[in-house]
Amino acid sequence: MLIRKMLRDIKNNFTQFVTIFAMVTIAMTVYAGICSYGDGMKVSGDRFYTDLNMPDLWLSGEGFTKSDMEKIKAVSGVKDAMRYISISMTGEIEYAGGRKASFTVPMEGNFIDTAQKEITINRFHVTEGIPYDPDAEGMWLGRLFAEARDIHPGDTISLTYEETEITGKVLGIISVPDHVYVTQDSSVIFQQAKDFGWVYMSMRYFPREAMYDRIIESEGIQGFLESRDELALMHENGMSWRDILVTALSDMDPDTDLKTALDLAPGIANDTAGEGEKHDFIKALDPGFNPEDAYVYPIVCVDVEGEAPGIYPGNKDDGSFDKKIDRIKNELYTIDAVDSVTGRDMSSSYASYKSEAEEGDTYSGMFTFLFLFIASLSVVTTMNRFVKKQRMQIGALKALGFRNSRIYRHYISYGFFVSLVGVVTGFAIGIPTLGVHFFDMEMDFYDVSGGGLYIAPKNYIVAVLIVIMVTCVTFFSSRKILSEPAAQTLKLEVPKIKPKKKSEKPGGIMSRLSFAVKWNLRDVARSKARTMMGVVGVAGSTLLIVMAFGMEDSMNHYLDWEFSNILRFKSKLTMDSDITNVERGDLYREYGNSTTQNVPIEYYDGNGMLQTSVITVNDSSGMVAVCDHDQNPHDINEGIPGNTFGDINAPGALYATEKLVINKKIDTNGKIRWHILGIDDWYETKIAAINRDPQAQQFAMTRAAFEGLGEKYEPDTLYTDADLTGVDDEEIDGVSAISTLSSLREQMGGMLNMIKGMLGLFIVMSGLLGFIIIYNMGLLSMSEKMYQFSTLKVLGFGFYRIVKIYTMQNIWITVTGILLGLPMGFVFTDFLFKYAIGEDYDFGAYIEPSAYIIATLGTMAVMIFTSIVLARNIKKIDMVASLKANE
Amino acid sequence: MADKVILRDVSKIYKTGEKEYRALDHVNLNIEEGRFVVILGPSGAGKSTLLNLIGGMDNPSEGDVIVNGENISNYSDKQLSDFRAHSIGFIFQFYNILPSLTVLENVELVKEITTSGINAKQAVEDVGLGEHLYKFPNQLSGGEQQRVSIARAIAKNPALLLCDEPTGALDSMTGAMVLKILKRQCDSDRGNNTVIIVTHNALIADTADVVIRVKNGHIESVYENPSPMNIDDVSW
Repeated sequence: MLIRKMLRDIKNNFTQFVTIFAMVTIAMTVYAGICSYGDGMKVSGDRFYTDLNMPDLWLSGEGFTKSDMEKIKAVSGVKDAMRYISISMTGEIEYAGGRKASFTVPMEGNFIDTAQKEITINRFHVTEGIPYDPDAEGMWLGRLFAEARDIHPGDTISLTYEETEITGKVLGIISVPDHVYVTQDSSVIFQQAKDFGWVYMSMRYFPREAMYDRIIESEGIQGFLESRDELALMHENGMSWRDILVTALSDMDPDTDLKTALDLAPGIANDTAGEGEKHDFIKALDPGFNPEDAYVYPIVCVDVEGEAPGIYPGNKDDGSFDKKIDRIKNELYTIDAVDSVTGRDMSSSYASYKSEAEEGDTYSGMFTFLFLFIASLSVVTTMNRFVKKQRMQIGALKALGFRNSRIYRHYISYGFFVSLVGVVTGFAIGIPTLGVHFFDMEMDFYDVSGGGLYIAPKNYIVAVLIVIMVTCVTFFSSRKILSEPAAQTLKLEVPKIKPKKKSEKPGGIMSRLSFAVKWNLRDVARSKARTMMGVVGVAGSTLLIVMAFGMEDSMNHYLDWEFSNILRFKSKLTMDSDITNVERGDLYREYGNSTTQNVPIEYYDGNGMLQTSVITVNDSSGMVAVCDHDQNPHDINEGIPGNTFGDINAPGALYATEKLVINKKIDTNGKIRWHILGIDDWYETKIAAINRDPQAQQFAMTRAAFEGLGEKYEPDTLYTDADLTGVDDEEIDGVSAISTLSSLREQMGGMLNMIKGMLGLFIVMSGLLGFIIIYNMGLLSMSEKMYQFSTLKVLGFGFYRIVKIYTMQNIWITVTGILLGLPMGFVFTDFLFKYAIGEDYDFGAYIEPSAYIIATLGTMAVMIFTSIVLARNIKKIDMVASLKANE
Repeated sequence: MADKVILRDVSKIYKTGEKEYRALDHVNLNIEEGRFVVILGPSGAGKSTLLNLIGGMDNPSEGDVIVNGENISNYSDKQLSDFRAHSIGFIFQFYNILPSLTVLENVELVKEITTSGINAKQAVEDVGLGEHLYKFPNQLSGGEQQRVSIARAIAKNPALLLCDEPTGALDSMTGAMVLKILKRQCDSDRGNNTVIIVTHNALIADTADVVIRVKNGHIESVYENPSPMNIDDVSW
């Protein structure tokens, strides 16, 4: 029976309960939706990485031999290692049966050690086709590219690298842990799946001729070719081949077949020799030559014993794995062939995925907290008012003999059921809509096969806490009335007489105010809780709107800072790693010589920890500027006004970014110990200046400071004022990629679209929440004042005068809320960007006046709309009924 | 004496769906100026409806309501508001004073709607609350609050004082004090006001000049009391 009563009460107080339901539902929808996709990414990623044995370390060098591999595997803690080579190539896709037109795209070819019969590290997840088989003829293609281009097993790919062409059938469509997110090259910020593909295959299919060419290009063989005439002359002059070997070529194998080598040398030198002749030539010079051993594998991926910590918080460990990794890294550096050792965090695929998965945490956490906080205030007030209205009914139930516990359960069930239905609805809406939408959006760019949403236990905990909170509010609201004896509860709640209350001073300020102002001021003072709820509610929704718009403004400002203040060129040319001096000279003549070189380094931070970073050696004549604290650009050769501590051109003098100095506790008065990755010469140099960068916390250096160390400046990027839109990199020798500033900005903007989508959602939700709060505030305020308005109406006050009185207070509350919400919106946005978004970013809130105007006008518009809607009730007041009802 | 209130063939019909309910059915009534009138009747008889129509809180469905010479039967909302503002003083069982205004401010409130009122301070003193001018309602007892309500009503200097169970929430002593104040408003030196009280309490009827009994939407009887009792002599 009481359940029936409850259902009817809810029906009769529909608006109030719908408000509570809507707030709980909105908060839970956002929380569950965002968390399920964010946690889904983390858990799916961790599972993917664990199941397929993501490498823990990557070693790079000029080439790792079998003997090197044995040394690597012998390092304590190393479980397994696999060597391979990764090459940037061009791929032409031909569809089986010609079902579509063929096309050409940039591709990455990965060639696995021929000795690797089975892949144990970085295993394939095959979604179509056959598993990896080194003896099967063909290649395995990355899934996202295959899906974007509708490629299936049986289609053919022809890969081209310089003069080498490898053609093979697609045998399988795969996902691989270290290729979750891959870009064509470092100039691409946001990779579209259809524009770049990657394949894996056995090194067995790498054309031997290409490998012979690579060996022939080595310094030793080139030296032999250059001296071949001299050697032939020595032989003509009577020296035996053996004598020549002993006297002129003492470092060569004594069994070298010098005659054959010299016979074949002309064809090798003028590049007319075929694959067999090249083999014979190399074999003649190196009698022990075995083609199988000659493949060059510059990369080794390493599996370390034990489980690496995951991205999902529940999969993290106590740091012991990281310590083990540090130790193994140091031991691996002692192997001659190892130039650099990098961990997962330096893998762009892993780091990008991790950062994307964690990105939603900060936003969703803060937004949901604010949502719930504001919602809870409204719930408190609404439930309190509702139970008060039920006073007589509570008395009646008590008089009938219902036990207090039964009545408690009855009243608690209002809050309990409404919030329970709210959280369940929130789950039901949030996960299949927001969760699926955002997850699918992410999975268009990140290849984690078999991934899905994940509902973490914290979601259920939050849901339960919300239900408990609303239930508790109901409990505490009804407790006061239930503790009264039945007889008293049945009576009206007699207003307490407060004889000690201070009387109004005659002739005080109040007496000079108009009736409407006086009445509203007193009403505000009398209804502190309702007023507070209103102010906090309006402030909260204003804050949310400012934050949502402000975050978008801040990101646009960051793009302006990066792409207008720092990057001041029109086009950027990424040079080939093997660019010749002639090609470089041609580039300088055509496009100028504004260049930079990125030098990967390791250094010891202020805590004595070894860190990896990059020094950008900048000789760009201001085309890549360094910025001061206030984001003003400067040429690196000018120093940073007010933040330069010494000679910026002194050997090794470093620029460090502000946030790097703070985060890594770098002593700007002392020296930093660092070395270039792969080179064991350590430097100790000073920080000469501090600059600020919005997205990369690292070092920079003038060319003079770099060369002052005796290092050779070999730029990898050239900047020009020429607009090279539409120019193909293949048209310019020595250039591997061309990007225009506008395309870079577009790509970065594209990357931010995901966040912007989320912000759009928050804007809508904030607006909705604001509307509900203001409407609820107006409704409560109206219902509480109804009898006073009835009195005024009976006394002869006209409709518009009463509306004026009613609206005045709403305006005060709304304006106060807005005045508090606007600066708070800035503070929260600033906090989010400065402290919560990630170590690499250094930008705070930058909010356009339009965001404040929209938030203000939007909130005011809702208030006015609500006031108009609710004011109609004043017209409808049945004076007698209303006054009687009050009685 | 002139008629202050004239009701001619007045009906008030409430419709609920298909059904009609006649709260007042063809009522005719005349009330003279300066009389102390009590309307008696059981619940649902139509007393309050009668009071509401006289007070301009509602329009009749049929007939004419003439108060102070004005036929208010077809007045618009706005006209009724003006009429109430200038001509009527209301007093309710539960006082209906505004909790956020002091005693004096509650009475001064009438200045917001009419210029014809008397001095608010004087009105408060007239009801014996001169010492509580700057107190808030929740610092006063029920009787004191009802007196504030009376002060507010008489401060308008209205042609008619309409009271709906004015003593219903008060003890007998306080009730008597309130009645005395109300009755005093009918004295010629106080403006010769007409006071109409709706009540269940038949004992009050003994103090009235005129007693009107209402039953089932009809005027059952109108009794002219030749010798109204002194309020101090009535006990309930």
